[in-house]
Amino acid sequence: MSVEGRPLIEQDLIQRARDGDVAAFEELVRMHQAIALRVAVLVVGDRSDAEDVTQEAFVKAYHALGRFRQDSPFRPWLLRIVRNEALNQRRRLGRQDRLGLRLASDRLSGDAAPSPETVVVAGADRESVLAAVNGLPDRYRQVVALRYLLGLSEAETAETLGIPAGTVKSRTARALSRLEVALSGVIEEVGHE
Amino acid sequence: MNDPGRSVESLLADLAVHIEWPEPSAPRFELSLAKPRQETPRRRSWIPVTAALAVLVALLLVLSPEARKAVADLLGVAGIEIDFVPELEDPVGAGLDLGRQVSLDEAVEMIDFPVSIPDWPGDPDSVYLSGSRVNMAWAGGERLPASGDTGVGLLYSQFHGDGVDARFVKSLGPESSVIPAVVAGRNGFWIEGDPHVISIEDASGRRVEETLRLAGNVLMWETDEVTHRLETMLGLDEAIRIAESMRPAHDR
Repeated sequence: MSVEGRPLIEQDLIQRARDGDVAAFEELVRMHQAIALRVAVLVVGDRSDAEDVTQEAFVKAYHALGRFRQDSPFRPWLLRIVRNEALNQRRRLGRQDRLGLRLASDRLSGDAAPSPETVVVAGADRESVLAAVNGLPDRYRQVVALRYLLGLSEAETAETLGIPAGTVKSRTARALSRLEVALSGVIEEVGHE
Repeated sequence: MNDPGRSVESLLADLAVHIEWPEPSAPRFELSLAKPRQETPRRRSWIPVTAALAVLVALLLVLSPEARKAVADLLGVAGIEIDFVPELEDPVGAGLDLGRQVSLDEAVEMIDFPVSIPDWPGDPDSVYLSGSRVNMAWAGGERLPASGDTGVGLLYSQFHGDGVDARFVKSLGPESSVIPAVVAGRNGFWIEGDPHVISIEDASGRRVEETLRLAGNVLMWETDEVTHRLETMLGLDEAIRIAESMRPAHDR
């Protein structure tokens, strides 16, 4: 799926869904449910809460389709609704604003963002990386999570978070800089692998 | 490593592929009303999302509220739970003339003083900017009684100010009273009894008119060059607890 433009089929589905074609919206749900669930998990942590959040968000998105600007990308518009719903849920539950993530025990997930370079990282170091990301102030943590853990583009991250693209860029730079300091030991170790 | 920034990115890329991401229950997306209810007390499967949409939209427009409830019950038996969300609600505080709606991050970014948020009730439901003034609104709820038909349980405003003091409060609505209050050691005052407009002379003699949006009570206090105002249906003690839980929004 392209980042800035939308495939024709998605535009067609959106138009049909706006015209009341529920099957078309189901198809949109299918296309975006995985990333939507991940965005919700990032905010609320718990999987079943995230599923509730995503369900609510999809229903709200359906009813809000009339307000969706057809010349803008659909995915970040949807993810913004998901994230807002998740933030509301987190507030209702009184949860902490940490990433609700855990590391897989012994399996690799093949569909995440591709690594720009191959590195060998020990499990303990990976825990350190997750802890360092969690240790970032929220405004940096959210940007890092969307950009690097979910693989969203800068523009999609901006739309999802409701902030200017320039802010995403500057926050990304500051976040990487902080992580570089926090993970200097791990970087050194990896560098000598 | 010649490029440490790139190393951080590679560590994040490694982290991304080792996260245990939940997967939706797809591809079980067929609408199957005959499917028996699954014993999952809290977790809803993905079937309800699409199934609910399919049936919901078809029926919502033609059925009375009672019939809608009956349909929901019927579908519940068939393994489907539906939350009716007939319309996307307006943002909390819409219609109160609070300014341009922005995200909390945008407000933090655009305002030249440190924007605060309370520990409880947490991040606001809506944030508005009106000039250099930040207005935040929270929906009413169980612990946060809503004001009238606005649906708003708490309204929090922050703006540049030259000090607030009960002695400078010049006029209030009828039946209202003002008493001095201290918030985290800072001067402030509390007005209760449905004030409509309060007129304050600040320390430099400037007269400030504050229009009240909720028919509730008001706590105003100051920190360094920033005046804070809470409007709420809560009492003084609870308002002060909220006020004293304020922390910088950029650290949230």
